[in-house]
Order: sequence, then C-alpha cells, then structure tokens
Amino acid sequence: MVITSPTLLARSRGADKYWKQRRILRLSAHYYGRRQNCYSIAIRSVRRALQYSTLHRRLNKVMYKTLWEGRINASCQELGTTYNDMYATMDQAGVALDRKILQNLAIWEPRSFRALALLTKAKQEEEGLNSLDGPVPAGVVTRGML
Amino acid sequence: MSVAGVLSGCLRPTFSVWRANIGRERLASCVASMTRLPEVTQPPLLLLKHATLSQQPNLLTQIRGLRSGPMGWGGGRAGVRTAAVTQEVVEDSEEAEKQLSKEVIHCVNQQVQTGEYGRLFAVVFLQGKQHLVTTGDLVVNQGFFPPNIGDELRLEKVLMVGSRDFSLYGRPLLRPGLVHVEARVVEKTLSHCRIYFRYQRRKNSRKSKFNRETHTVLRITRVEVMRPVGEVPEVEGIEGKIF
Repeated sequence: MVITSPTLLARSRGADKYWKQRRILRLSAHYYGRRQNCYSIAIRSVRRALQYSTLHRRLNKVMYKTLWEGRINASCQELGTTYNDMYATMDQAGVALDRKILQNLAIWEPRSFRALALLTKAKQEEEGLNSLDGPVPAGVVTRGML
Repeated sequence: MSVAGVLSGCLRPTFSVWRANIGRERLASCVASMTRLPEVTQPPLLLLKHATLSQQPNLLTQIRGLRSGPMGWGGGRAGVRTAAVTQEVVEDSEEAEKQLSKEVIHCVNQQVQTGEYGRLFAVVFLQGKQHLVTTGDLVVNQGFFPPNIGDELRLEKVLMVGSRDFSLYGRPLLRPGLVHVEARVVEKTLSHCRIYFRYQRRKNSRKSKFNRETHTVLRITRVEVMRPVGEVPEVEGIEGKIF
C-alpha cells in the first residue's frame, strides 16, 4: 500500500501487515479452497506445514535408508541371499559401499550387483554361515584371500 | 538321586521325572519318556570340509545323528543313534582356481590395454559421501568446498569401478593411480531456502530460521582405468609424492 499523504499515514494500520500476510499467502498458493487466499485460515495450515517440514528433515534420512534397504533386500533375495547377510559379509570382506550406492547398483548395474552378491555368498560359505542352504554356485573363486 | 547316578550309562527303562539334589544348581525340567533307547555307539568323526558340488552330502542328515536330547531323555547319556557313514572325496581345487583367476585377470587387462571396455562407472568418495559417477555426470557438493569455477580436479578416493564386462571392488579403496576420475568445477551457488520453523500453539512460542547452503557443482570429465589389474609395483606409496 502506497502512502502518499499524511492523512493516509494517520489512517493506515501499518505498512507491514500486508507484506506479512503476503509472505504466508505465497507459501499457501497451492492449497485447497480458502486456505490459499484467506490469511487467518491459511496461517494455520502454513504453520503446520513448516513445523512438519522442520521435524521431518530428520525422518527423511530414516525413510530413505528403509527404502534403500528394501530395494537391496529384494535384489539380494533374487540372488539367494538376504540384505543382512550380504551387508555383514561385505563388512567382513572390507568392501565399504553404502546403501545408496548398493541400491543404485541393484537397479542400474545388475551385473556388478550380482557379482558382489555371489562373492558375499562364497565368503559366507567359507565362514560357515547359512550352511544348510546348500552349495554356492560355482564360478566364484576367493582363494582364501578375503 | 544324584546326577552322577543318572550318567552311569547303564541301560534301564526310563522313569518319570526325577529331581537331583545338587545344592543350589537348577536343572532343566525333565519330560517323562516311555520309550527304551537303543544301544549306544560312538558315531564316526565326520570331516566337514569343503567338497566339490557334486559330492557334498546333506548337512542335515549328518547332524541328525549327532544330536542327544536334554538331560531327561535316556538318562542324560550320550545316547546317539548310529549315523550313516559317508565318505567324501575332497578335491584340491587350488590349481584350478589359480588358473581361473589368471585367465580372468588376463581378459580384463586385455580390455584395459586396448581400451575396449566402453563406458566406465566409478564409485567415488567425496566430502563424506559416495557418488556413482560416469563421464558427463553432474555431482552437487554441499558445504565448504574451496576449488573455484573452472578448476580441474582428480577424485582419488575410488571405491569401485565397473564396465559392461568387469567390476573392480576396492577394500575399501582401489589402489591409488589405478583409476583416474577427473572433474571440473562448473557452478557455485546457494541452495533453495530451507525454513526451520518451531511453533507451540497457545504458548506464544515461535522461532524461525532461514538457511541456504553453498552448493558446488562438478562435471565429471573422465573415468579411465590407467594400470593393468593385478600388477604389483616394486615400490608402493610414492605416486604423486614430491621428495
């Protein structure tokens, strides 16, 4: 609101109010119904939204980790292991790839992922884990070096 | 009735639950058993070595014969049913494995020397995070990163490299100088505005913070395998060092 005369200045409630409301309404532009245009209704929704986004920035990391673990587990089960076994065996073997990378390999580099999974299976057989599952497919040579 | 008497090993019909008076020790609860156990014999010692695929016996059948029940069954004796006697021929596959390794490494080195591996991808460790990169990729780095726009970098911590036909995994890093992953700094900007807003209703409590992180964007210009695999240099640890 442009104040062009002293009378207007006396009558105005303050120049800030409009811009304060605008800051909130800009964030609520994509909401449904009166929540996008009416300030006193929008402020409630916007405050809740900002609180959620602040708190859930931590939850994001947990969510992604669960998602990645699920994806890796799915690919592992196709190849005859499980995520827990594979990750623990990778730790023992010294391969330090993290979950983000493993899930990317599982999706976009299936051959590399398969090689890694079979390698962990061979190492598990050496360690004596999951011995009741049956023999490991041939073709994986570790020569006791892991 | 003491426990020592129970473990004498003589055959007798089983009886109902008995208690042993061995001071403060607690015994597991015994189950009444009405069957008479067969003759006790020592099972042959089974060698559980690595066997070839075709000759590996079923582990379950081996173990079944070795199990003895809890204290109450059969008087706590080492009461074992006779296990099936199996023999396994363990082939020494060391030579064959060495030969296979040699062949595989030779194939990989051929591809490396002729440069026929095609497009390579690498897993690179940068500022605490791992990135799966190939040539032409953009990598966004968050936080303090000194290099300026236009600087050429070599990303030396490579965890893994792969192509269509082979993958090399480091434990945890590949040998320095094996793979060259080069990048160029393309852009230095700020991230989008992150609003940190804490609010407690009806308590007149509200605080907000507006934060923008510095982002540095790198363009990966090159991923290449420089040395043959399996090569052991005479002196290690002097690459890139100035004496």
